[in-house]
Amino acid sequence: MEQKLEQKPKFIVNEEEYQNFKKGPSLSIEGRFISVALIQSIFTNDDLFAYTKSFFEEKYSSFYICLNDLQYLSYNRLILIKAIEETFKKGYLSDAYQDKYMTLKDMVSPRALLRKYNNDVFCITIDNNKYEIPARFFLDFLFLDDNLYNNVINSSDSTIFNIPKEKFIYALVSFIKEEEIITKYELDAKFKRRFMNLSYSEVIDIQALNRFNQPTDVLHTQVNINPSLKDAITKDMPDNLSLLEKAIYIYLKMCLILSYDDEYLVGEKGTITRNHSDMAYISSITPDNPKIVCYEFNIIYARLLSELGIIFKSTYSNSNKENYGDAHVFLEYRIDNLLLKADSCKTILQNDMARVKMGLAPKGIECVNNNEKSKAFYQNILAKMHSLVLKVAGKENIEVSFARLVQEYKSIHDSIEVSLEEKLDIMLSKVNDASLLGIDALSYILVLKNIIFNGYETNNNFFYVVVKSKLDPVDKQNSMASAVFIINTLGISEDQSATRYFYYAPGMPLKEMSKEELEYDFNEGSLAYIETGSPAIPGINYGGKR
Amino acid sequence: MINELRKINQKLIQEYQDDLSKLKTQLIIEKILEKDDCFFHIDIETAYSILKDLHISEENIKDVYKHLIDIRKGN
Repeated sequence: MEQKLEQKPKFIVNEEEYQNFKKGPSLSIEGRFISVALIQSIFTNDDLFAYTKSFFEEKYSSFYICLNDLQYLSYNRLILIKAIEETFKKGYLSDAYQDKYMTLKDMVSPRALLRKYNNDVFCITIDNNKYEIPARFFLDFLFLDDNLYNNVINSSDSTIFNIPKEKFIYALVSFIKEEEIITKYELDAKFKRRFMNLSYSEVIDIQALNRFNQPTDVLHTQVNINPSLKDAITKDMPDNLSLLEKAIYIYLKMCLILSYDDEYLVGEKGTITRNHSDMAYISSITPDNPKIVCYEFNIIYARLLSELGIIFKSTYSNSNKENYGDAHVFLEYRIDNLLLKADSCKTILQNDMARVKMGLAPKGIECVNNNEKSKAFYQNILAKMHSLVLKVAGKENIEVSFARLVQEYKSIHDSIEVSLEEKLDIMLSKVNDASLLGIDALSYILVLKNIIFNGYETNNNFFYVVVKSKLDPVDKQNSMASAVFIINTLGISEDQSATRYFYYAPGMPLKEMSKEELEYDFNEGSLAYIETGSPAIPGINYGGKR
Repeated sequence: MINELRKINQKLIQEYQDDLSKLKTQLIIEKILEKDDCFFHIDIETAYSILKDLHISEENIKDVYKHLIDIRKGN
């Protein structure tokens, strides 16, 4: 075994030793395999012991047993100490090495942890304020007995060691993470559990701290919102709402006024579609010209939030920078201790613009905090604002308790069996009656599908595929979203000859088509799948995903 | 249509004052019917069961149900 290189935190071994450490008998410690021969060598080879001791003393940040720069073995202190204990237990090391072992063991003990940080001060900036906190405070806090610990956590006192409680916990979690305390010291389960609970904001919510302190987006400053749109969104908003309530109110009101543009869904490059990628077009969006896509919803919402003084960030699916008009975008922002994500077009057919219009709870605006109290607080505000916005618009809210009521009803009643034929008849007649246009119509049909058919039926008897249809065969850039219904009461995979196809264009009567007619339309290009990943229409072999 | 169901439900609540099991059912239905578009949030089998509990005759259930899942005016 060669001498280690003092300047580099590596211990070089030869090929034979390396292969022995890599392939010889090993122990499984916390999901890692570690060589028994390596552990034995730590105690039998003075140089390797000295290297290991230096690593335990934190003279080196890593423990590397290297054959060369590309082939090496690396372990943290706790895996090493547990492997050493296991090696002793199994009798692979004699008691003659106990003293050396105890030397290493002491270096990972809680006593060593307290010794090391006894006089250190941890400096951290939280929400633009600087804090200097003795590291000992963090450790004393995590080592408190249960009663005291719970008293401090649950007390109404807003400070710990005279530091605001949330800030203290945030600093504590940062300290433990930065110093890698959990992987360097043998700490009891209680210490680790407390740290995990605190770092996941389970008891005290620190998740929003140090987030969204500085504005990053700039594009919203360059857009003009049409005054009639802004007025329609904000005119009925009560002045006494909190900042969070205003932010949610504006989102919901935008959902009521605006609609997703179905032409954009079909992905053509027509004039209207090009408009959606042009920031100058934003000023022409009004309550009477409400068709938008994610870019416009995002930037209009961002602009309105900025006017409330809220700091946010747009996240584009294909870029770390603002990339208007090129890929899906959503907005994230912070209000006090809440982190919110607003993505009105999270799923296009069930987008929040369609959902809110139907009186359904929005799904695209959400609180991303882990803390249950924060989530509950947010849900209450969301429900309150949802009711307010619907009330202002003369609509009614669907409350959360409703699902519980239905469940209670079901628990005392058997459902009535409804035949598949009857379900299909209801579905087709409702589709024919639907007076909605564009995506709103397709969303309505999706709601019907969900209440009329069960999971088995939607897998075997009733399919619903959104496609794009060319409105003008010559100008193929002019398209709209439409749908094909595929029905087979025997089961699509059972007997394809019994499959019936219906074409649905929003606002038009349902039209039954033969398989050949549909194939012809796909072949001619007057019908097409929206994208190659779209679900395929059974029996139609033109694109789509099977 | 929903208002007519509410009226039937109120009548049945009065009628079942001495039959706790049936009364409980009608009281739950009363709560469900508070939502104008409640039938957009209930599977068809449960919806049919509710309509049967409201004494809608078997031959009318389908038509009543279809009416209840009309998209509301003004949406």
